[in-house]
Amino acid sequence: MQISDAELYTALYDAYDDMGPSDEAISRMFANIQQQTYQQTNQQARIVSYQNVKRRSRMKWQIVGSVAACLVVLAGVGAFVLTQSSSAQGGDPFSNVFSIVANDLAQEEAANGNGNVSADNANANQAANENAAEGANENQASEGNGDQPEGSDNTSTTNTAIVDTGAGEFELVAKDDASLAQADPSLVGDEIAIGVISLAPVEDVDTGSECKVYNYNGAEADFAVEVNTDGELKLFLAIEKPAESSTINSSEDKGSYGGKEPIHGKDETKTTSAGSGEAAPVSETASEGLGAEGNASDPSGNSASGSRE
Amino acid sequence: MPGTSRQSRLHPDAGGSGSEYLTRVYRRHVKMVYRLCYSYLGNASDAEDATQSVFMKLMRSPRRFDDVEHEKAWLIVCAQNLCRDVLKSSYHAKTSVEGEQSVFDKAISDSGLQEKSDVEEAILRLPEKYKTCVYMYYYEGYRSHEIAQVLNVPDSTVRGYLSEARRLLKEYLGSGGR
Repeated sequence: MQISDAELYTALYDAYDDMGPSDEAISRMFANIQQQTYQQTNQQARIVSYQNVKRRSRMKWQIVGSVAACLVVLAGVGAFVLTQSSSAQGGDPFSNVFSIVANDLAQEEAANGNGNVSADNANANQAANENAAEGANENQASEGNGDQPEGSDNTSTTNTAIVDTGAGEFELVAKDDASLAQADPSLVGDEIAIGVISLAPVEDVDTGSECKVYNYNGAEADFAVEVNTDGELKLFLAIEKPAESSTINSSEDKGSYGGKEPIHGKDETKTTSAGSGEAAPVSETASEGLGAEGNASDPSGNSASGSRE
Repeated sequence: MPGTSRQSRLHPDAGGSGSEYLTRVYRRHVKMVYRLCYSYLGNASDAEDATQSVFMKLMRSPRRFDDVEHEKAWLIVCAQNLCRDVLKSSYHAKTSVEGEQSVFDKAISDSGLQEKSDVEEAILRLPEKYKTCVYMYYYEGYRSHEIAQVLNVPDSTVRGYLSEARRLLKEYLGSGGR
């Protein structure tokens, strides 16, 4: 059977029309679409909320990081400005801090009765206590002028002595149980009077084992003091030869120290170390005589000064 | 009129909220979409699912149509592509063995509510590439050049599809349908 185009048209139209959907199917599909849309909207809202929370958290950390970075930059700029201003004033920006620390350490050491001051503390104290050094210099200068500082007489007169080792060498020894000298870093390189120095005790001067001999290298001062790395004092003396000196006893008076009579007493020392015009000046003879450490036959006077035996 | 300018602007009928607009679109075109899907998929349940998917796609990515024809053309193309995807999917190939009815369709057939006519069977037997052209030409009343514009194919191709589909349908119906 052959159908015409018109019949086909009608048949197809009717067939499509009969395919549906029914009203029930339309409502069902619409309800499903609405439900899915609602679920999808809810899900999207949850996702958006989660993303917002993450974004807020990230922003919070970004703000914290920015503030921290700003603080670091400000601190750096402040330190730089402080450094620059201190440099312009010619001082160490942290000298005050070091000074305080060094003073504290020095006070602790003094309170503990520990005679050894570490080299670091000594150096720090030296660097920090310029005023103290100046004060010491003033005392030294006053001594040089003949004014003995108060409180230093006993030390010099009771604990130290200068003995002649012969051949132009002289030793500064300590007597009795005098404690090891406190190394004052502020005295490094300075010239001081013997009267403010106390050295390690000498068990037996007669044996000569603990005698310290210090050679004087300079020619402009009677003596000098420096602190070695162990915090011990080194004293450099420039004393006239016994024969020429009017203040150091000769070998005739050396009975109490095994033939090496110490020269003790403020007056003797001061006379030796006096920087004033009245005291005996340091002569080239004396410098030459003290030049060799422990070697009386060496008249050069340029040996390794200050090495403690 | 399909094939008019595709500029994105509000449809005159797109007043009110988005959901109201989508509701109007749904009520206006749901039967067309369902019939097209049914002609592709051959059963009511798959056609309903495909129809829902088409409108869900419109809701997920709302777009603005120039006019009703533009809106209609977009839904036709979307339904056609979606049905082709369903037919190509492995799930559909596994579940719909040729000659087998789904449980839903079988229940409907058993209850006598709906029974496929010879013409409907003939439509379902048509190749996929003819189905949209036949539906648009014989039911929606589009001309061949309008169909060509909607489907974005040459007019001669549409005319060739229609001629071949007509020949096949006459053949199916003249030989008793099956």
